[in-house]
This record gives sequence, C-alpha cells and structure tokens, in this order.
Amino acid sequence: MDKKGEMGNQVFGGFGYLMLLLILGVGIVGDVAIFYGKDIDCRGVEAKQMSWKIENCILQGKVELDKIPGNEDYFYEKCGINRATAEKYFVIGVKKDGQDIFKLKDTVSCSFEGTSNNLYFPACSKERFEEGSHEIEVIAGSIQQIRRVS
Amino acid sequence: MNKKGDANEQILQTVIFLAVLFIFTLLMAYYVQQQRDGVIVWEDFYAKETANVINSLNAGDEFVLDVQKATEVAKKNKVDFDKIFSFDSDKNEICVKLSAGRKSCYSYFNKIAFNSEMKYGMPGNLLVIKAGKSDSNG
Repeated sequence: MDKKGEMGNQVFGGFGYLMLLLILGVGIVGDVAIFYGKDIDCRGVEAKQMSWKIENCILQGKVELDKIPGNEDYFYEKCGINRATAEKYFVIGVKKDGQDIFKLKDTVSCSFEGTSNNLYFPACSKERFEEGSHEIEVIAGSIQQIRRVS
Repeated sequence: MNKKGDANEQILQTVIFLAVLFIFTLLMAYYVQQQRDGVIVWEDFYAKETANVINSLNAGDEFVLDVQKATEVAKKNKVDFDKIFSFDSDKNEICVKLSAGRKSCYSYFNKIAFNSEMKYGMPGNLLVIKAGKSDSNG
C-alpha cells in the first residue's frame, strides 16, 4: 500500500471539503449582511402621507389656491408642514388645471420608470382630484434616509 | 489490502466531516441570530415607524406604539429606557438610541404639537404619543 499517496489523497480531499464550507460560509455571511444591513425603505409611505396631507389641506379649504404662488410660507403654515424638513427631504409639486401653483425642487424625476428602488431618486406619490371646478394634481416625493449621529 | 482498516478510516473521516459541518451550521445560525437582534436594524425601524406615526397625526389624536423589542435591545446594551426615544421639536426629528454608541435619527414633516410618554408593563412596554388639541406647533 502506498501510504504517501493515500495521505496526499486524504489531505486534498479534506481541503476540498473545507474550501466548499468556506465558500458556503462567505456566501451566507454576505447575503445575511446585505439583507439585514439594508435600511427599511419607507420613502414611498412618507411621500404618500405628504401628498394626502396637501390634498386634505386643499379639500378642507385650509388654503386658498390663488394665494399660494410666490407665497411659500403661507402654504406651509396653512397646511401644517414643517418648511425646513420639506425643503431638505422632499420634492413637491401642486398644479391647478395643469398650471404650477407650488413647486419645491424638480418633480420630473418622479416620472422616471424604475427609480423608486433607487435611493438617489425620490420615491413619489401622485394625487389627482377636483376642487370646485378645478382639476388639482399633487406630486410629493421623499429622498430622506436614516441618519446615524453621535 | 486491509479492508477493516479502510472501513474504520472512512467512518472516522465521515464523523470528522459531520462534526465540522455541525459546528459550521451552529456558527452560521449564531451569526444570523446576531444580525436579527442588530441594534441598527431596530433603531432604523423604530425611528421610521415613529416618524410615520407623527406625520399622520391630527389634532387630538393619540397613538400607542409597542416598543417591547426596543426596550429588550436597550436593556441588553445597558441603555436607560427614558433615553431610547428623544424628540427634537426645533429640528423636527426623532432619534432612537439602543446602544451606548451612536443613535439613529429621522425627520418628520408634520407641524403639530404633541407629547410622548413611555408606559411599562401594560403588558409589554409602550410609547404613547398624544397630539395637541390644535394644529399649531408647540
């Protein structure tokens, strides 16, 4: 019996097995880290809440649409929206009969296909409704992400 | 050829490989469990969940949030329960701290006055958020 040959066979066989476990382990650790490391994405929910808030604000008559253009403070105050938070983390567009009456940043990115899962684009919500004889469109998008601070 | 010797060697190899596989499985299960109990995951969850609750508040509303898991993680990391949730009305943000290190913060846009209170053993631990009677920010 060639013991040396069999010894080499055993070492190599065991090595292959350990390599297999190592690759499997790296895969499992990597997948779990990616899964649990990923933030919960609730930008879509936030965008929906913002668009609903603006819609309710208009429908409940808290704000007069004709007074909004050029008067952002009036809009934020009447609709109970914190201006600093909105300007930092949201895009907002309000149109009356197709005409812009309020615009916070560019809402064009809300029309892009397949961007809702991209954290660098806003997750958006659109509401269309009628107020009196006017057609109103509200678009709101959120780009906020969690912040780790000391 | 000594077949008995070969059989013993194969059994020994199989036992060793099974033992290694068992230890590997235990290590992987432990790692997955550690990630599930991760501080950052739960801070992220509670900060966003609480911000969403505040964003949907109207005057006079009261909302109760089950924070049992948050208190369990905080206790494990020796964080006082009254330091878990902090609200900054100037910045309009909620911060959640479940470990001695950094905390996770998230902003809410709703301009409404509210107060918060932790209640323990109700059963379970709860965070109660009460909006003011008027919509003005306080």
